Amino acid sequence: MIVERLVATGKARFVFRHFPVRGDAADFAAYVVECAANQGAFWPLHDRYMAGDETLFTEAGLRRQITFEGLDYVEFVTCMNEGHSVPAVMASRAEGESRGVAGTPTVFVDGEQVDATFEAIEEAVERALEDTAE
Amino acid sequence: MTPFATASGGSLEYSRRMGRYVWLVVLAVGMGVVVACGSGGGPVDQQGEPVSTETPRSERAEREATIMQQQQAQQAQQDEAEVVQAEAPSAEEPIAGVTEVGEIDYGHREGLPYLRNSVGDPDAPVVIVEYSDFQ
Repeated sequence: MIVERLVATGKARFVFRHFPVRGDAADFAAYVVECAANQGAFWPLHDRYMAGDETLFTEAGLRRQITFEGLDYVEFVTCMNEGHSVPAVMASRAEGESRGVAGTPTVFVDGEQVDATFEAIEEAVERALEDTAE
Repeated sequence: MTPFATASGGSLEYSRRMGRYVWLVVLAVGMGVVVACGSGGGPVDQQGEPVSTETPRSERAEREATIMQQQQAQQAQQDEAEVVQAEAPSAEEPIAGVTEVGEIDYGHREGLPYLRNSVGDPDAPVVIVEYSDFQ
């Protein structure tokens, strides 16, 4: 809904920020997505995890998906093993905490926290557009 | 016999004794000079008394080490802050310094421009930021 009605229409752009709070699995997924993002594949891996693809928590599943996306698996493994994506994830989480984020999902529209429902987000976007027009 | 006992021999005795006193005084003054010179190059406290150099030297070393540690800790904190700052751009910006905008070629975002963790027109008037994690 957000993409179709707010992003695709050019009203807004959408930014995803990591805020892993569900334990080691959430941390791991965030690191995977960031390592994939280093090779330009943030959104495909983001979408697979959001869809609940449990195979991405296994080595075989990750190898299959990374290869399917056309990424360099050796580079990806190096990124994971050497923790290259950890600082970015930690920084994202720290930034969220500094903005008062305590749980997920938490949404901001033009810097103002709103309820994480489509109606609230759409209303905030429309209001921001009106403010911009004035 | 006292120096003043006789007029003749007493004068000679008196001179001898005075000579000894003079030598004693000269010796005492000389020793004083030697002592003064011996400690003259060392540090003195505020009252001008010489002070030992051993303890202050080790105290100074400790102070310098403490100051150095404090400076290193401050530098480390500063470096860390700079690193965090460099790694944590504002929430509206992509996570890393990716400048090349791509186009998503699949799914419900197909055809939309993306910049790492940001999707949509980079010049869109409104920015939606979602903090989330993966279950």
